[in-house]
Amino acid sequence: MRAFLGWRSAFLVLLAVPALGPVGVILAQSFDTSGLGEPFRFGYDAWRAVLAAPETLGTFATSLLLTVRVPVGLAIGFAIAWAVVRLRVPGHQLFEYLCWFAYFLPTVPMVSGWVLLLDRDFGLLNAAVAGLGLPAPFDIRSPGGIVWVHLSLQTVPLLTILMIPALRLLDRTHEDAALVAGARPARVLGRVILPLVAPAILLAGLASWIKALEAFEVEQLLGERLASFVVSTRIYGMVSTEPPRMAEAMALSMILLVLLLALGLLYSRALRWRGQGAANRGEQGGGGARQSYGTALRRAASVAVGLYLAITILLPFAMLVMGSFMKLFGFFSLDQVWTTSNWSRVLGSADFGASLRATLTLGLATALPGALLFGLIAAGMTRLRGPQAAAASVLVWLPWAFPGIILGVAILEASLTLPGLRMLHGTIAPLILGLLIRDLPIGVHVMRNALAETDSTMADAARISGAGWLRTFLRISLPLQMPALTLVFLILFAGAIRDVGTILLVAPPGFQTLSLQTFNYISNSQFEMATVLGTIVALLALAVSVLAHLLGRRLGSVRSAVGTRA
Amino acid sequence: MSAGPILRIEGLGKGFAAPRGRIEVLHGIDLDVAAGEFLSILGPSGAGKSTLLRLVAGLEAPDEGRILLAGATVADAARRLHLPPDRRGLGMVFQSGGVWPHMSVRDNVAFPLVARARALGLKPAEIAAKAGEALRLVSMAGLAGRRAGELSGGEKQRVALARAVVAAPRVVLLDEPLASLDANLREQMRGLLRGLQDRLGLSFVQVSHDQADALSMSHRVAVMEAGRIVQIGRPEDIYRRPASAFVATFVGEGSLVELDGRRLLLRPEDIGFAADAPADEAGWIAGQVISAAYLGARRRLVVGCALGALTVDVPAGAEIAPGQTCALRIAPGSGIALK
Repeated sequence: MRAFLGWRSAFLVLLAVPALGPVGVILAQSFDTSGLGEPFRFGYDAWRAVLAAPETLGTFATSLLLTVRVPVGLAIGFAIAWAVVRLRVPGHQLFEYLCWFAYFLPTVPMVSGWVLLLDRDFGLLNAAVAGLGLPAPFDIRSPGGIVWVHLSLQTVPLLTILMIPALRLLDRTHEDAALVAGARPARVLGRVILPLVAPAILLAGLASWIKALEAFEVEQLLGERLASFVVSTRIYGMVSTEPPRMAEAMALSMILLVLLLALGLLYSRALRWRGQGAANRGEQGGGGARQSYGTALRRAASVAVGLYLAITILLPFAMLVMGSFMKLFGFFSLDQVWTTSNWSRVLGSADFGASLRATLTLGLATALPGALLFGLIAAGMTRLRGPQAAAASVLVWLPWAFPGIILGVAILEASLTLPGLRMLHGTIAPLILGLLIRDLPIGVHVMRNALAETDSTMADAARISGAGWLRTFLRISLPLQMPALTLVFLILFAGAIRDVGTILLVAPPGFQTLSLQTFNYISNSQFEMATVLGTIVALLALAVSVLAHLLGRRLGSVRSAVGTRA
Repeated sequence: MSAGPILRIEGLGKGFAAPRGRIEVLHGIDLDVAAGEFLSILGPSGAGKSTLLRLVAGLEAPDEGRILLAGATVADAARRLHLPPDRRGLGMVFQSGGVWPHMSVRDNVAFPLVARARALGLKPAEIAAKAGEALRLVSMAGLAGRRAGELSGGEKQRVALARAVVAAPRVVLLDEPLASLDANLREQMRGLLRGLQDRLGLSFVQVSHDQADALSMSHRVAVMEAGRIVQIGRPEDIYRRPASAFVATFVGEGSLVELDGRRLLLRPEDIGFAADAPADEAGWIAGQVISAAYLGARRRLVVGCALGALTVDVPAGAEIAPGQTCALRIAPGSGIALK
C-alpha cells in the first residue's frame, strides 16, 4: 500500500513540473531587474512599469472585447452541430469533415486567403463592391476583420467539433418523447435539447474563451496598424525589441496568466460538473429523430450550413491556393496575373528542403513520444482516487491557460537560466517541450475519454489472469487504445507543424518550420511565397484531417475533447 | 466437495468517498468457501455483492478485515497488505465477459497461461493444448481462430468461462455472469457452469441478484442486505427457513401474514385455491381475486382475504379473472414462522 502511495506522489510531482514550472519561471523573472547576462536581482521595477503604463488597461480591454466572437461562435456552432447530428441534414458527414479540416488548417497562411478577399486596398470583395460605385465595406486589418478571421477559421469549427459529441450522446428518447407529445422542432430544440446539453455548451464556451484570450498569430499579422493592441502581441513586442524587456513581458504575462488560470480552474470544475451530470447519455443515443423533422426543414438547414462552411472555409482556402499562383499577390490588374514561378522558386530553394525536414522532424519528435506519454499519464490518472485525482486533473488542465507566446517565453528563459536546461538551449528539445506542455491537456483528455469508454473489465480480466501492470498495459490497454493513441498522435503532429506562437521565440538559429517561414514571409509582406508554403502545410493538414476524421468517427465521443484553438 | 476453506473472509469492511461524505458499502463480512464448493452471493442492487467480489479478486483493497486464499493472507487492512490481482491465482468471469476483442478466441483463453507461463513452467505447446482443452469444455473449439469481437453475447461468456478456468485457479469468481443473456442462453449456461464446476472440482463464487441463478446452481447461498451477510445456508434452507422477513421476501415468492399471533410467510405452494369451494366449509377462507397474471406454466393470482393479500399459484389453464370470488385453504403446519 505504501508503494502505491509512493508512485502516486511521484506521479503528481511529475505532473506538477510542466503545469507549474512555467508559472514559476514567469513569476521569478518578472521580479528580475538585472540587465541581460547579469545575475538575478530582485526588484519591482517591471511590475511598476507595467502597472503604470496607460496602454496596459487598454490592451486587456481590447483582448476581452475581441472575445465577443465566442458567444457568436457558440450560436453558429450549435446550430451547425444540431443540423449535423439531430437533423442529419443531407451532406452532414461532409459538413462534419469540413469542420475537422478547418480545425487542422494552419491559421497563418489561411489569413492570406482572407487578405486576398477582404484587404481594404486590393481585396476581391471590396473591388467588386467598388465596381458598383460604393465605398469599400471590408477591412481585414481591423478588430472586426480579426474577429471574422477567428470566427471563420477557428472559433466556429472548434465549437462545432466540441458540441457534436454532446448532441450525439444525447439520449434519443428525450427528443422522441417531445416530438410524439406534439412539440414543434423549435420547441424541441429550446425546451429539450438546449437545456440538456447546456453543460456541454458552457464547457465548450469556456474552453474557447480561454483560447480566445491567448490568441496571437492573427492579431500579430493583421493588427500591425494597431501596434501592440492585445496583450499577447504586446508581450511579443516587449520580447522582440532590442534589448528585450523580458521582466516587463513576464509581469504582463503574469497578469494574463492569473486571469487565464482562474478561468482554467473554472473550466476544470465545469468539466467535473459535466461528468456528474452525464445522465442524458443513454443507450438510445446516436441518430437523431431525423424523419420526424420533415424534409423541407432538413433541406433548408443543409443549404444554410453548406453555404456558411463553403464561404468561411473553402473560399479562403481556394484564395490561398489561387494566391500561390499570382505573379504579384493581390494585383489582379496586371497583364499577366498568373505564374507558376512562385512554386518553382519555393520548391527549388534549399530553404524549402530544410524547412520541410524541420517541420516533419518537429512533428514526429513531438507526436510520437507525446502520444505514448499522454497515454501513460491518462492510464496513471485512472488509478488515482479522491484528492489525488482532483489534484492531477487540475494540474493536467493548467497548461490549457498558457498562451503559446508566454509558454515560449518561459521555456526560453528556463533554457537560458536554469542549469539543468541550459544544455538544451540551441536544440529543438525546448520546442518539443513547449509543444508537449501546450498539448498536455488535450492529449491526456482524449486518452482519458477513450479509457473511460473502454470496458474496465478488460484490464481487470488481464490482472486476474495473472498479468502484471506492464503486461496488461502493453497487451490489453494499449492495443485497445490504439485508435485514440493514433488520434492523439495526429493532433500533436498537426499542432506541431502549424504552430507559430509557442516556437517563435524558442526555435534555434537556422531551424525554421514551414509555418515559421510562412509567418516570416507574411510579416515581410512576401505573400506570394507565403501562400505556396501555406498551401503545402494546408495539404499536409488535409491528409491529417482525413485520418483524424476517420478515427474520430470510430472513437465517437473522444472527439469532444479535440480542440486547442478558438 | 472436500473440507477446509479455500477462501476465508474475516471482518471485511469497505467504504468509498462520495460527494457528500463517505458511503460504507461492506460491514464486517465473515465468510468461508470450501474447496470444490459452489457458493452464490445473492442480494439486491447496492447490497455490496460486487464490491465483495472485487475485494476477493484484489481489484479493491479492504478498509477493514482480511482475506485468505488457501490459508495464505492476500489482503489484510491492519497490516496494509494487498496482494495485486495477478498474484492471487484466481479466475473471473465478468457480467460483460471482459473478453478482449482485439485477440482471437484462442489467444483470449491462452492468456492466463501465457501470463503465468514462467511460474507454471509451461511451454508453448502445453499452453496451446490446455487452451484447446478449455475451449472444448465450453464447446468453443470450433471458433478458436475467430476474433473475439465477432462473437455473440453467449459465445463471449463461454470464452470468458474457458479463460477463467484454463489455469486451474484456486477460486473462480463469477460476477453476474448470466445477467446479460436471454432466458434460453441463461438456462444453457447454468447447466454448463454447474457441469464444469462438478467436472473440474474448482471452487466457484458467484454474485447474482437473480434467485433462480443462485438457487439452481449453488451448494450454498449467502444472502446480502445493505453490506451484511444476513443468512448463509443450503438453497433449500434459505428458501424454506429464511432467517428474516427480508430473506423470506427476497428469495422466492410469498405473503407475510399474522396468524394466531405468529408472523408467517406463506409460499404460493402452501395455499390451496378453489374457485367454487363453499366458504363455510372448515379450513377455507373466502377471498376475491385482485389480479391474475399468466406466466406460461402457471397463473399467479393475488387474492384479497381476511388475512390480507395473498399470492397464490394455479394451473395456467384455469380461467380466472380479477373480481372473481374464490376460497383459499392454508395447509395445516405449512407456512414459515418468522422471528
